[in-house]
Amino acid sequence: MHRTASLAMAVTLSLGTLLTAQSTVGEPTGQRTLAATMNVHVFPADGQAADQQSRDEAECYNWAVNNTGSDPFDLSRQAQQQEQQADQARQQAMQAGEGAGATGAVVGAAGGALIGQIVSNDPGRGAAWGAGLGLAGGRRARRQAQAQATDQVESQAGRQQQATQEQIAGFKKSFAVCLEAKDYMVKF
Amino acid sequence: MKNQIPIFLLSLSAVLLAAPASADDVTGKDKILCTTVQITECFADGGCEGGPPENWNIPRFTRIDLEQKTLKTTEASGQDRETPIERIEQEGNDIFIQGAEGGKAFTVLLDLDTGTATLAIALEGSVLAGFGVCTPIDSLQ
Repeated sequence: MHRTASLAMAVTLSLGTLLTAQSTVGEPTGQRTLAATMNVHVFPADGQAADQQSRDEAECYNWAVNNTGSDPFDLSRQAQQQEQQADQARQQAMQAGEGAGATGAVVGAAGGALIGQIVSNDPGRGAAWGAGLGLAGGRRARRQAQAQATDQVESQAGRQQQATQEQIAGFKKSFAVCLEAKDYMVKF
Repeated sequence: MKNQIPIFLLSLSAVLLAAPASADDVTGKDKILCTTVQITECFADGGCEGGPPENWNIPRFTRIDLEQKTLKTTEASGQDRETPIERIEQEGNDIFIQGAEGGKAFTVLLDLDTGTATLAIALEGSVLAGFGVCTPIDSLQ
């Protein structure tokens, strides 16, 4: 289903090329080809016409999707979603350590503990006391938890981003091999 | 803003009512209203900082219910905060009120004759000291 939609998008992108194809072999049409949308540069080494190039690119796109199991348009959407999720996770991680140590943040807050909601006017200075003795105070532990949560989010986001980039790179290689087999010069 | 005006007026009326009765005799009273004006926080390095109780999220007015064993904010404050009292001990004309909550330990020394209150709250790495005056709640009615 995704592949069909992606292929349809690819064909649509290439349609401009097809419609405006010039009879002059290999002459740029001014339209972005399917390959160009993926930052893959393709030159018709054998003098293929623009419409032929578009058909070849669409064919190679389909072949590369089958060969790698990755669709760059899906991967792009997936990367955007992952970035949004990472942003949310970052915010949650930042909030994890806030609360009792944030002077003024709970001032005026309604409901809850009377004594428990009292905060130090300088929590960092207070925490230094525990730190000096090598004690793991609650506030310091919260800060460590916050840092760990943030690191975890960044690490996970980095891994996901790297995996997506590797999938895209794999797809481009496959796409390029296919086009080279059809006498195109390909760089990406 | 609209909500703050009635709260302010109620707080102001509480101040006006409490002011002439400040440092009252609270002997034999179970329900007491105390006000805290100034807080000082001292750290392990010897330094101290003072300021109004709001800087530490401490309410200006606190109701002490010795029968129910609770510390509560007033309705006029717009806050609904409460802390249980774990220990009440009387020694002569002084009452010691103690408890702990959320990693903080507190002690209030209430002089029944004069209605003066001395407050100490131990936080992590610092101590809050506060002074207040109290009056029986029924004296406000």
